[in-house]
Amino acid sequence: MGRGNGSALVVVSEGGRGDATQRTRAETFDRLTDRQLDASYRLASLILGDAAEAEDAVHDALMSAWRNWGSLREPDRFDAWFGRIVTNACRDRVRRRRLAPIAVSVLPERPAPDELSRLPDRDVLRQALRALDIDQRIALVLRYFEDLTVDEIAVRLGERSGTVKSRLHYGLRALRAAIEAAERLPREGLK
Amino acid sequence: MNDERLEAELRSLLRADAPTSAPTSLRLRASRVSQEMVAQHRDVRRQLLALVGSVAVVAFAIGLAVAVVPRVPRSSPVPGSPAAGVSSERPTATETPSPSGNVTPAPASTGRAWSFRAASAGSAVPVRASDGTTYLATSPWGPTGQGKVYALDANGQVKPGWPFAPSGIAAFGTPAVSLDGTVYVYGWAVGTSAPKSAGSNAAWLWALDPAGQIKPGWPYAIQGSVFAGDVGVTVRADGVVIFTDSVTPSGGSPTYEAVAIDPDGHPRAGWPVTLPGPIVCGSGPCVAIGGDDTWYAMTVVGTGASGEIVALRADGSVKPGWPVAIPGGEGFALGPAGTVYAWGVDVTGAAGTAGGPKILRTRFMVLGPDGAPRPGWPVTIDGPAGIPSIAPDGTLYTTTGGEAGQFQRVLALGTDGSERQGWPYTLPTDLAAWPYAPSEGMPARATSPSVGPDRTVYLPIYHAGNPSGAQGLLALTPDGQVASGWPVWLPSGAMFQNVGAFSTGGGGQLIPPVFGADGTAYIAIFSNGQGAIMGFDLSGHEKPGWPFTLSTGGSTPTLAVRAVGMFLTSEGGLYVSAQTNGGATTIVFALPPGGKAILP
Repeated sequence: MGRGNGSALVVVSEGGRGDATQRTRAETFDRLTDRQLDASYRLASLILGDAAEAEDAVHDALMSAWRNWGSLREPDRFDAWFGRIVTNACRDRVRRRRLAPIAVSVLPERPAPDELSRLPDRDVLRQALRALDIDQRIALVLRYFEDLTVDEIAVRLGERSGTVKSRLHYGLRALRAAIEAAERLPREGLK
Repeated sequence: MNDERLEAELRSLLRADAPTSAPTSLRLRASRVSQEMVAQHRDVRRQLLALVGSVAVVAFAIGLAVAVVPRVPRSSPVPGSPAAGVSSERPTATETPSPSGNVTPAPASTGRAWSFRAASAGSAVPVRASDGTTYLATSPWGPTGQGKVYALDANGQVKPGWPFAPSGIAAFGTPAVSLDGTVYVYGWAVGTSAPKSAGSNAAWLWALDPAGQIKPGWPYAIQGSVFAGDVGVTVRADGVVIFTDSVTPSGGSPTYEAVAIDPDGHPRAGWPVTLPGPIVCGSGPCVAIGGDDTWYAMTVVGTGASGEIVALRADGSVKPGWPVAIPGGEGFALGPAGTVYAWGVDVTGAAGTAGGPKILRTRFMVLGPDGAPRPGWPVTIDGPAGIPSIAPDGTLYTTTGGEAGQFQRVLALGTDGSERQGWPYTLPTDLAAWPYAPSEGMPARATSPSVGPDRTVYLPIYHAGNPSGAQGLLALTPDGQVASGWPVWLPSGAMFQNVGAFSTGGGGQLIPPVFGADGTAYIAIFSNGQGAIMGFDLSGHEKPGWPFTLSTGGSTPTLAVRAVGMFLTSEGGLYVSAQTNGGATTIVFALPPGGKAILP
């Protein structure tokens, strides 16, 4: 028993090896995450379509990365490892996001449909992208912004290539449908 | 649309929408992650060390192993206990101002704190130009008063060629500085304490070069009446200066107009433009110039029940899509990406009637550059809400609930009008946001939150039911949680410094905190007859070297000094404008970057 307590006291002793390890880890963590901060924020912004949500997601990812530092077996692969954490953080934020405001008496008033119909194509595409399922959106951003191949996306997300292909296919189909619907609206309005 | 075109459009959209870099707020938050986690680790280790030691003793005594789960303490000052004392023995400004109230320049030095005391009242706020010059206008009013515009160098010394003091001008508006360093300021002769009467031709707009000389072609004689305070003039990037005035024909009603003058001193073609009414000022900026050089102002329409945001282009034409009506309009602010945030209230009853006015609803609106509401807006909230704070990312923060102890909430609305995740934050019933009345005769409402550079949200609070008790500052994380180490409480007897107080509904609006690049929150207080500035770091700890007492100098200052405003320079220095004797004299305190308030 005495040896066991003695061992525990060595491990937790003030200013001992544990603190030095933490400092080294913090320096490495800061260096690696700082290098990836801009890219991570860009990725989160495009997936979430909102600057504040993107910032929060990257912050969530940083906290998660610190907690799971031990799972980074190959420091050379930090960028891909952290990129996966960022996409997971984006997915978590969307899934946790409330569907409706819960504050008392906050009453959003939506614009009439005819106002939306006047938006140019790029706005329609942007809104359609934001309306996609989060997994489809992540796949599209990784494919068309980061220029990853299907197989690279699969590795990044820990999914099968077939699943990624399916998400890309249905995501593009939904975007096309939204654009075509918007293009029809003005003609319908003339009837 | 075929696949190739769709993919190309999507690529193009994503490239266009991708931000170039992470914002400063995220960099600040990121830099704190490892620090906080290491600190947390150290705290747990300390706890473990203590506990293991205790366990060892107990185990030795009774021969039993005990499993213990350590608890990480959360440091939070006890309500009512002073976070820090405001001592009159704290160091103050380097110079000793003249008791006579004459201008007393600071000694020549670089990067040192200084203060500058002008002889008379300042009705305008100091303005700091990009070259480090601070411009301060004083307005003694009265028929014999002589107003002055001072130019102070980076060490607080009056620059050669200044002050500018045209004979007989007793009051100035707030100066504005153009990109080429020209200083624009209007002033007028004062027969009474009110702005000059219409048509007396006693008001002028000057253009001054950095040496204090009037530029060729100037001054411009203003035809109507101009106003004191923060309205002043605005300068577009192309050097065109714009101001508002009112012209009242004999026996007629006033006409309000926006006037634009070219850099050569000539009236600009297409201007002046008649406005629907006087501009709304006091909640948000009075006027603003957007990134595309559009001039924005909110004006009263009709009897004042409605407001309108006017948007004028460079040639004086109305921007397409504008003006936009804002029912019960109280104010507006420019947001990111060319957006305009506006707010108004529905009020029943009137000031002076039985029961007084009551705010039924507060309505927030976000307009695009084309004047159209952005999707998700307006958002209407039952009852009163505080003047909103708009974060750089477009999040709108406000406080709901007009009465203490009635579950006041801090709301965070995203750019699409929906609530941010984790929000609203509901105040415990024993705490309340500090109440203020935005104008005379209006009911009180909860004061507004302020947003720090790392998106921490700060709210002045007090103990509900005890307005004379301790006042404090609450900090909420970007996720809507109480930040570790907060709230902090002001020293006993200290109170937040307000800008003005009205007879109804509590005090005036508090001087909002300002935030250093490192996240330090600086707040203006008044304690034991003296004004002071306190500084708190992100963990709620008082910054070393603070508070800084606002003093006229000497071992026994006889004049109470109150802050009236604060701002940070681009280099991180903190400037505090202050007044003595109820505004009789004006002092500017300049504190150097780094937040160290101890002066040499």
